[in-house]
Amino acid sequence: MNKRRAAAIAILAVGILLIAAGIYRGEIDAIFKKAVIVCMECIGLG
Amino acid sequence: MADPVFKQKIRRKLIQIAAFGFTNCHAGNFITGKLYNGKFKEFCTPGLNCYSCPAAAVSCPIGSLLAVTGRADLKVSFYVWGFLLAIGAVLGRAVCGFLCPFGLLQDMLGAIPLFKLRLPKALTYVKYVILGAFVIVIPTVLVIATGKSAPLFCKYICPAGTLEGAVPLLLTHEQLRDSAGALFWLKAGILVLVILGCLFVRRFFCKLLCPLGAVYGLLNKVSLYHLTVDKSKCIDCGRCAGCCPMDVDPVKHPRSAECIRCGACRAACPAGAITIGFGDGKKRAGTEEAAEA
Repeated sequence: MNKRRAAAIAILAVGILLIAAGIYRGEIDAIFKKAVIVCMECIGLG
Repeated sequence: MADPVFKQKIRRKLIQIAAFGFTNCHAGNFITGKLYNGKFKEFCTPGLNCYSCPAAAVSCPIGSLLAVTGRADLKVSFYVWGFLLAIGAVLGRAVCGFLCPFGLLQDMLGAIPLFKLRLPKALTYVKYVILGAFVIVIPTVLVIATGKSAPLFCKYICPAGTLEGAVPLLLTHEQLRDSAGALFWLKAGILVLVILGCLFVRRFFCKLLCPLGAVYGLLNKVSLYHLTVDKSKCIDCGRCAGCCPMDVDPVKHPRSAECIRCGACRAACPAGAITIGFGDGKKRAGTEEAAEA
């Protein structure tokens, strides 16, 4: 396995671990709450 | 037998349209101005697509990142950074070439037959400054110092949010129109500049401003889905560099941070020296030759 491939797989593994950590911290709920309402400041209206 | 350049363009366009349709499958909401509020909004789309767009079925990764960063109890989004790292490690900027709804809009504008300019290479680094300043450093410093921070990129720059979120919502919600002040007109100006830029520079926003492209571009250096040039087959005709929408010379820089893996160079190569995929280029070329024989 070349170094680039190994690096990509390592980054992928770290990414999956971070996703799991984010879910555990309750980030999904924070994203959901923001995404289902009109976010005035996100679109330059507030 | 169909022209390979035409086949490649059609194949990519179909994938782009499918990705656009999936990401914005609630198009009926443009009439009512309501947002989809189902469970899919918990997930991010790999490309840039405003979650305040009435049609959006999933969340924008940059908006989500800034939403979490802006909360004093969270400060940094493991979930979104993990998502970006995982997607980027597998696909790199193929996301920009195939899955990004705003990328498709830019391609459509770029297809209008006007003269095209090349952006100076130095300007392609602006997107890294935007990523660093508006997405990472300033929001993090603000939330640590004050306990909250605004989604700065979305609020002050993002033309996708203006086009997909602000404009349709202003058209359908009379009460929102009073909120359209100087900030909205600043963002509308940025949107107009981006649209004009896309008419004369292919993928203007991707090259110059997109923080998502910056993240995936850095991961292009190692991504599993990559471009390979077999230099023993290359005849140095320069067709690949000439047709690249991102102004990359794939022979010199097959792992360029700008390459969106669109495949235009592969289709244009008369020697079959360029391959794109997950595996070793030579093995793939061998397989393709065997399949053709």
